[in-house]
Amino acid sequence: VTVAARPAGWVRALVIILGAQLLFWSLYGLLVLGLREAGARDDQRLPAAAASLAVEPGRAGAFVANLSGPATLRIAGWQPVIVSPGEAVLLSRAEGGAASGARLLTCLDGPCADAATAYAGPIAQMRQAAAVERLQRYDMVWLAVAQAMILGVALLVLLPVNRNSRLQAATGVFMILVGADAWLTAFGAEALPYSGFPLLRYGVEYLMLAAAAVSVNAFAGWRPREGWAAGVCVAIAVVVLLATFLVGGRFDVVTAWLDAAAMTLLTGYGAVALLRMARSAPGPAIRVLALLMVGLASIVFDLFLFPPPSRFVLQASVLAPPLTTFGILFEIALQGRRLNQEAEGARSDLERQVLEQDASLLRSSQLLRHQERLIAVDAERQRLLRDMHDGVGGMLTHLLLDVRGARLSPQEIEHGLQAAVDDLRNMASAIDTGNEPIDEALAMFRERMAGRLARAGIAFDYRCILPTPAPSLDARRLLSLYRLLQEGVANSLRHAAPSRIDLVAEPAGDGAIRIRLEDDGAGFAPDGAAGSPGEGRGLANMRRRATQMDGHLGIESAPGKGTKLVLTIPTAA
Amino acid sequence: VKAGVVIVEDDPIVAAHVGRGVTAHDGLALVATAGGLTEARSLLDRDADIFILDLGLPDGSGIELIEEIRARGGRQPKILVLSVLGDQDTVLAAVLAGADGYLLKDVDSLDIGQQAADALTGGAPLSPSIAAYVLRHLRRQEGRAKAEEAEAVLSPREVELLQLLARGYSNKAAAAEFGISPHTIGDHVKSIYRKLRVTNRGEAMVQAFRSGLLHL
Repeated sequence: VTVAARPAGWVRALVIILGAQLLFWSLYGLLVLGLREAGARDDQRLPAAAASLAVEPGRAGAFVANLSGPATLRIAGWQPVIVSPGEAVLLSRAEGGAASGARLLTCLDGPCADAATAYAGPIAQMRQAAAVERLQRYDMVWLAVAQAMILGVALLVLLPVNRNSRLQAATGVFMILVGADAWLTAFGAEALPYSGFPLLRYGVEYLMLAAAAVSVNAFAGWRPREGWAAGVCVAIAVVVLLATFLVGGRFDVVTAWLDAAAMTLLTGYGAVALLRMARSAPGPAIRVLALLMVGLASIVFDLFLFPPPSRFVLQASVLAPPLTTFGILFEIALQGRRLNQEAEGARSDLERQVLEQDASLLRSSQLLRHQERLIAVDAERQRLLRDMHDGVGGMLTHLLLDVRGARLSPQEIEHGLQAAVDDLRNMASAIDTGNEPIDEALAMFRERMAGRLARAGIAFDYRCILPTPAPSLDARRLLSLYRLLQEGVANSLRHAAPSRIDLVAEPAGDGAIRIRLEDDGAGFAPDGAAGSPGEGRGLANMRRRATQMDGHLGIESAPGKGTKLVLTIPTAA
Repeated sequence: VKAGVVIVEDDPIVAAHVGRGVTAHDGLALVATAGGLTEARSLLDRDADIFILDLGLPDGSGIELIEEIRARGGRQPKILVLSVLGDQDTVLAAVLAGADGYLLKDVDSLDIGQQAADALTGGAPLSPSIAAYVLRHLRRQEGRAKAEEAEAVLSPREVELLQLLARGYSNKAAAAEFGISPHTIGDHVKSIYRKLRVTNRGEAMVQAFRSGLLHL
């Protein structure tokens, strides 16, 4: 894979390097074309142009390029004028027209620079040429300062977007320092005329170079030790500057040495970092190489093709720093994109995990619900078994034992079986009617008993004066109620020979209900009921049922006065 | 003229018990007794007035027989279902399929004759248990789907009547409560039955499955 990838990598590197060159030089060409149009032409150079100037029909003007201060311009046949750097002046013809023969240009603050060149021609063209020079010499510096500052501040402010990337922070600080350094170099001496100014100026410069080193470090894969090394270098430079200031030594000598050392260190470090990156991150390394090649090409272009003082319209190296800035921004944007992709990847990874967890939670909750259901079903079966044991089971067992002992008459056997079937129906009804209104449950009980009692000549009346909807009992308590009533009716039938039985349900206050079962039969003395074993067991059974449903059973009876069972049951409603 | 009764019951003891009840009643005459579905189907043309049938037959479910009888059209006989426990699923399945009521199997033979005769005259109200079962069934349906069987719902008056009957009101007491004649109560009951039969065929099958009366 690596063998196959290598040629593709080289092609890619070549494309990137050539592309950067193409971009740079086409931009440069466009700018040069634009500026040349606006600038002064070579045939307008003085003193040669003086001849054509004499026949100039419109207003004539003059402009001196590369002036360092105000100067006097004398042209034969024209009035002498004072020209300032970056300014065009109007010319007026001299009376008499005698040639003065004096020097063309005389600078007021000492000798003029070699590059100072005077032009004359139509005033409009001269003004344009002056504007271009102003732009190059002054406005461009301000533009560069402002651009570097704004970019640096923007990078720092936008740090959170790139998750506080080290590269962005270092580059932001570097750009701010570049702006400060450019301002100090161009205008600082005039704006801050203090003896300590060189300290500030060169301090900022070395700090800027250190920031550049830190930026390179961050870009090539952060190494803390190299970051500390840059800090130590700055500290040494500051100490040397301070010593120079205190001793009163010459700054220009010291900074020449310091500059040389710093540039050597930075260049060497840059080369090392680039090699490091070529191994770890070939893509960015190639892009950096492409930018370096552009910078190198621009310097070579300036130095060898148009060496000073000829000074071509625009130095190519002036254009290299903006391109570098553009490259750095591009890298930061790429890094931000990669970070976002990583974050997105982490997020979708997390999402997948959450989904998996959800699914497994659902599975376990389903399992749990299934188990709960099994437990509930099991509890229900146990309850059913207990109910069978407590009622029909016991009845049938007793009946079986009695029949085996031949102690029962056919009628007694029939009664016993009837009681067992009744109990089964009570169980079925309690299962069906549990948690349904109690008035319906009692109506069903009456329905079950009505036919039999009617044939025995007993009127069975049921009245319910509970509010609707009536409260309800759960299946367990309802079964206890059914069994209690069944026992009560059976007792009446067996012992009391009544003519009527009344079943009444009524409210008993505090949400409780009172259920009365009354007959007009023989009655008995409740205290002496224990004397008759069968009857005593019946009463005890009924009390047990009442306790099972958290209720209270009152038995009122006296011989000849009928029997009254009063059951009070608390209800939830 | 005595009303003809057909008994469909596979248990010969129960069949004989019910038969005794029918013959003992002055207004009833036993037409035939069938021990299974196939035999019962051959009796459908005998124009009986009452079918008294068991649901759990050896060759199928009595529910199917009820459906077939109700699907025949023409003169509709009364249908009473024999039940051991009178439990909700069994009774409801039978009533929804088109039965008029149920008889507990151990009821005295005299009572069997009386209840069958009552069903014939239409004088018997819905028993409290049937009324309660039907009410619960309606409530369950309401909870399940509101719009689905909107036209099937009983009128508010009919539901009110069901509630009274479920609470144990007699026809007479319910009539007094409504301020109408007991005869009109009978009309209401017939209307309730008719609506249940028309709209609850499918539900009857579901109930029958639940109670184990139908198998696949």
